[in-house]
Amino acid sequence: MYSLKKNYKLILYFFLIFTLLFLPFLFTSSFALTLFCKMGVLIIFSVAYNMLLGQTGLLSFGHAIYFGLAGYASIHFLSGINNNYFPSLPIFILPFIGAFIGLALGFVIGYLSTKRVGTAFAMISLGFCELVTALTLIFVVFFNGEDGIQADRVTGNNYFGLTYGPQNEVYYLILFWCIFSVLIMYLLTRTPFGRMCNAVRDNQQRAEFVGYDVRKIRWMAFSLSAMFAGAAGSLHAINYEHIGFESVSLAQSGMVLFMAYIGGVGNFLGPILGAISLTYLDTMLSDMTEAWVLYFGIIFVIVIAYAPQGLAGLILMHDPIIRNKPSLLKKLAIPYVFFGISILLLVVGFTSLIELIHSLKSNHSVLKVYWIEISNQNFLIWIMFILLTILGILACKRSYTQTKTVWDEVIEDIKLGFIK
Amino acid sequence: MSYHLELKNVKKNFGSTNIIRGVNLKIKKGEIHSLIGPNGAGKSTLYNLISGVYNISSGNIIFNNKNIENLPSYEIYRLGLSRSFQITNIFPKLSVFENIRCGLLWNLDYKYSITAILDSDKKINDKTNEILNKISLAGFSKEAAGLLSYADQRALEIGITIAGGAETILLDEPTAGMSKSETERATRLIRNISEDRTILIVEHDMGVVFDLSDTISVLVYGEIICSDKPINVKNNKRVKEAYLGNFGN
Repeated sequence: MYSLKKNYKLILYFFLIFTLLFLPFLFTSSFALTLFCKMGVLIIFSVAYNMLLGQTGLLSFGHAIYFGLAGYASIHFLSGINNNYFPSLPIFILPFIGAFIGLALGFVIGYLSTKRVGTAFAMISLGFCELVTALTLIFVVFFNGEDGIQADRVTGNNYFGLTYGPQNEVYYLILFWCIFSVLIMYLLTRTPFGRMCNAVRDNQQRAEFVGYDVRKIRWMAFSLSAMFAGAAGSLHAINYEHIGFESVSLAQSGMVLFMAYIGGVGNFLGPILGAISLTYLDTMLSDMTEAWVLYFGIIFVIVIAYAPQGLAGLILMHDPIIRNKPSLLKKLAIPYVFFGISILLLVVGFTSLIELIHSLKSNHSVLKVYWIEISNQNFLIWIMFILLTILGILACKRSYTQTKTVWDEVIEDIKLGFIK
Repeated sequence: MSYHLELKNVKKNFGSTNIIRGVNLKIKKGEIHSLIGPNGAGKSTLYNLISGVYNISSGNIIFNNKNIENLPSYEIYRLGLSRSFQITNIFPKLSVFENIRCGLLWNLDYKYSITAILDSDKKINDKTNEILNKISLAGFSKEAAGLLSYADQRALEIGITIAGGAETILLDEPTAGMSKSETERATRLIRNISEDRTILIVEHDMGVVFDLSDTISVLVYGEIICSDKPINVKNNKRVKEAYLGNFGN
């Protein structure tokens, strides 16, 4: 039974990798490819970040430092290849160099900051983030100020016939690194070090009384997490052929924190979900509306308040039901549909209202929400969306209570099964 | 005669307050030694001094002929001295199995390894199951430790404490807050683990103390006023005074 379950999982992973390999043939537009590349890079970054946040319990506001600085270094290496300083350096090796730079920086900064935990640790990381952001504007020689630096990735020797000119070659480079580093990070969680990271997160004192120097565990986690962030930063630089100060900034650090949290810090797969969904939303919403930052913030707040275990948590809380009594899922289906419709009502009403308010700043009175053109001069439209929002809130409240009642019944049912 | 664990004139003051005022304590190898005393006598502080949570102000703590005063806790643990806590101190989000396995890691020489994959290592997993059986928690091995009942969490804590194979164990009120049947179960467990170990135990339940101990030491206001066999402690005048003469009938 167990081996069957294991095989089933393996088949699933092979299928997934197979799909990923053929993705560029399914979505041929350069827009889609760029999006996938961005997702791949941010998956590595957010899983690395969660090694610190979710696994070891250290909240860092400055993890973009390792991401960004490795990116700067990679761009310099790219121009180095261009200028024939080391013409035979293969580009697919650059993430190794980025990882090494991340590791070295993490080792030094980790030494200084892992002496403390909790708020003090978070504040130190914030300090370093601001410091490095300031450095990018001061040391113009290396960072080139606000403009950042560019380099051409189509350069040097073409190993295996790869020029990295077409975006799909970059896609495969990123895909390889993404699978490789996520796999290694997953295996790390299964080692004594990985288990002790969790132990230190759960109970520092007890971890000491099973013989571990908790500071050393935190320091190791910090350095390794910075190492993978460095690899991600390097790929980021190769992908865009440009790096700017924003990549080391607080905004970038905040972004990876959002991804890990919204995806779910309690599970290894959480940050991957977070990176995929937020990168998608980020790209899509920023094309559609200028108010997307606001929506972003609202999503974050709602997740923190109502689903602190993130998307992965929402999915995984069904695990006991699936394991013990999958038939009970049917009971949940109807409340879920109603809850979904209520949320949809609220989202349509609320976002339309926001867009209406936002449209007032320009002279255009006509705007498009959800493929329909409306006028912000029409009083009835305003009333309609206000009513829709209120209706949405009420419906959400009601269906939440209903869903919760059914949920509790289901869980009670399963607990009874345990006693028998 | 040399002792297994010996405290020589240990003092601890917080600011100008003397909490431990020159404690001398001698613990023989293989015995169950109880430390009793009224609330605020400094029992927990003394534990924290021995196990390296606090630094001592003056004196010596000798464990296996080695000075251990003011060493960090993890160093003391690695020398073979393990402890439990008054407040349940487990890894709440890890599974019961993981809790015990974490306790085994250091002594099986895994150290900070980033290459060993634990799930595929038969030795450590077998050993973990062995300990789970010993503390009768094998049935819960996959549950998160934080979800266990209070008594089971205390049993788990003792499990973590003994997992690493430490030969000397400090137990801090292992039966506090337990019902009668739970206390009996805990007492059985302590006797069970004491077979090849030296145990120092702080306990308020005098039934448990007189039932288990080979030697009892009485700590009153930061000083040991008596350290002897249970029967002699029961008849000691100063002890009776300290406890208002009404215990251990």
